[in-house]
Amino acid sequence: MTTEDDQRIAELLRSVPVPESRVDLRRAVRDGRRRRQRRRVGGIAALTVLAGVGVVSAVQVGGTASPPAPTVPALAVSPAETGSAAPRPPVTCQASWLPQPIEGPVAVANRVDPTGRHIVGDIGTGQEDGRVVLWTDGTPVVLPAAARQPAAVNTRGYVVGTDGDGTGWLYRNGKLHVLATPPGYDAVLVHAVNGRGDIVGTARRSDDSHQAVLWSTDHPEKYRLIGQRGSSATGITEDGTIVGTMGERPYRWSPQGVAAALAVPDGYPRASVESAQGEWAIGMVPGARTGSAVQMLPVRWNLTTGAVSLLPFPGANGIAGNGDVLVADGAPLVVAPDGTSRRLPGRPEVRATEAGIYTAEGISDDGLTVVGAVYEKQAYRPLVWRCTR
Amino acid sequence: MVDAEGEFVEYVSARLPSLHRTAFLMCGDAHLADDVVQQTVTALYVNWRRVSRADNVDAYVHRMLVHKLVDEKRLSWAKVRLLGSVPEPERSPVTPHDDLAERDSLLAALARLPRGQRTVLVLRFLCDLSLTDTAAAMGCSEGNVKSQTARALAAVRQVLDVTEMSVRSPR
Repeated sequence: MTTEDDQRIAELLRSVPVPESRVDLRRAVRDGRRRRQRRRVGGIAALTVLAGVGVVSAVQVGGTASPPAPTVPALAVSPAETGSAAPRPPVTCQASWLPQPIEGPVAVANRVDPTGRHIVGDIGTGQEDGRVVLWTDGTPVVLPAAARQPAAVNTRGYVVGTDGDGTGWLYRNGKLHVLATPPGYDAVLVHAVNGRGDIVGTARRSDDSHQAVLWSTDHPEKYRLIGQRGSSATGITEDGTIVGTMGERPYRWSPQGVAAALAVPDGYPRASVESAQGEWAIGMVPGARTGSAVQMLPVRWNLTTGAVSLLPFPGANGIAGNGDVLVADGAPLVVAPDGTSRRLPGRPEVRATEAGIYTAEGISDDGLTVVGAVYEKQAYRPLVWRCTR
Repeated sequence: MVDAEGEFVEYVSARLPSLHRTAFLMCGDAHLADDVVQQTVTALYVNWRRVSRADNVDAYVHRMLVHKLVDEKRLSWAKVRLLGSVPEPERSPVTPHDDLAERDSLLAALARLPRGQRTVLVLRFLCDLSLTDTAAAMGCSEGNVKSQTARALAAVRQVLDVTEMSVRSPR
C-alpha cells in the first residue's frame, strides 16, 4: 500500500456523505448532569457545578440569540418564564415518598397508570441493573429479575417493557410473560399499554427496517403488524388509537386500523410522537442547530382537532388525558392547555435549593398524580405527587 | 468550574461532526451512530474533568466511542430512537462523477468489512489515530491492528481500483 493510496482513502473517508446528525448536545448535558448527580459526588460541590453548567450550555447549545443572565438556571423553566399570567387553578399538591422494598441508590418512579393507582419504577445502582417495582395503592411488589426497563403500566396494573436484548415482556397478575417477536424481526421495543389490554411497540430488523406492532395482554404470544414497513408505534390511548411515525411523519391509526398523518408544525421538516393520552399526544421536532447538534423541541397534538402546537419548554415528559403537559426539566411543572401552570412542591425535609434535583416522569389521566424522584444525599428516592382540586 | 464546562461545550461542539461521521462510518447505521455519539458525549460530560486532563483527549474520546458502539451492538434494542428513519445522504451536485462513484464504492466496501477491519480503517485513516492509540481504543494488540488494517486496505483497494477502471475506461 502506498502513501498515496492511504491519503486517498483518508480523503474519501472524510468526504463520503453521511446522514445528518441528530445528536443533541443540550440533552447530553442534561443527562450527564443527572448521571453525575447519581454518582457519589459531594452534594455541595456537585450543585455548584450544576449552576454553571446550565448557563454555559444554554448559551452555547440552545442557539438563543442573547445569552441569559448568569444568575438564571437556564435549563430550568420557572413559572414566571412560561408566560402564564392567568390565576393558578385551585389545586393543591403534596409530595409523598414511595416505600422502597429493596435497597439501591437509584430508586425512581417512571410511569403511572391513567387512574393514578398503579405506579411503576425501578431500583438499582443506576447501571442498568435495576429491579422493576410496581406500587399499587402505595404497596410495592418487586417484579421477577427478568423484567427490565419498564415502559408503561395500565389501569389493571399490568406492566410492559423491553429487556436489554430486545425482548418484550408483560407482567400480569403476578406472572411474567414474553411478548412474541414477529418472525423475521430481531427485536422489539415495547412502548405502551392501555386498559383494554392493547400493547404497542415497534419490531426491528438488524438492518434497522421496522414496523409497528400490536399485542394483547390476553395473548402475549400473538401479535399484529400495524401500518406498513417503516412504521413505528410509541403510544396508545384508552380507546385504542395508536400514535407513532410512518417514515419521518407523525402518524395515528384509529382503533379500526385506519391510518392518518398528523400535522407537522409549519417550518419544521418532520416530527416524532412520544406518547398519547385521551385526545392528546406529545412529540418532538428538530429545532435550532448549532454545528451538527440539533435541539429537539416538544410539540403537542390535539388528536380530535388535529391541531399541533410547539411548547415553549425545553422538554415534555408526559401528557395527561386533559391535555396537561408534564414539564420536568428542573423543578416539575404541570402546564394546562390554556397555559396555566402549577409548580409541584418538594418535600419539606429535602433541602432542594437547586433546579433539577427533582425529576418527574409520569402523569395520570386527570393530571393530578405525578411520579418521579428526588436526588439528595447521593441517592435517588421515588416520589409521588398527589393533587386535589 | 464554569470554565471547565465551557471547555466541554466548546470541545464537543467542534468535534460533533467528526464524531458522528466516525460513528456512522464504523457502524453504517444512522440511528445507531446518533445513539452512540449521544451516549459518548453524555459520558464525556460526566467525566470531563478527568478526560480533559488526558494527554490525547481525542484518542480518549474515540476509545469511549468504540466501547459505546460495542455496548450498543449488544443492547441497542432497549434504547429509544430519536426519530423514525434514516435520511438520505446529502449529495453535492458539483461532485465530479468519478468521485461520487468512488465514495459510493467506499461505503459499500465498508459495509462488507468485518467490524474490526471497519473500525481500524476509520480510526486510523479518518481519525488519524496512531497504531498505539487505535490498539488502545479497540482494546487489542498493535499486531492485531496492523493485520486488520492490512486486510481492510486490501479489500478497500480492490473495490476502489475496480471503480477507477469502470469509470475511467470507456466500454
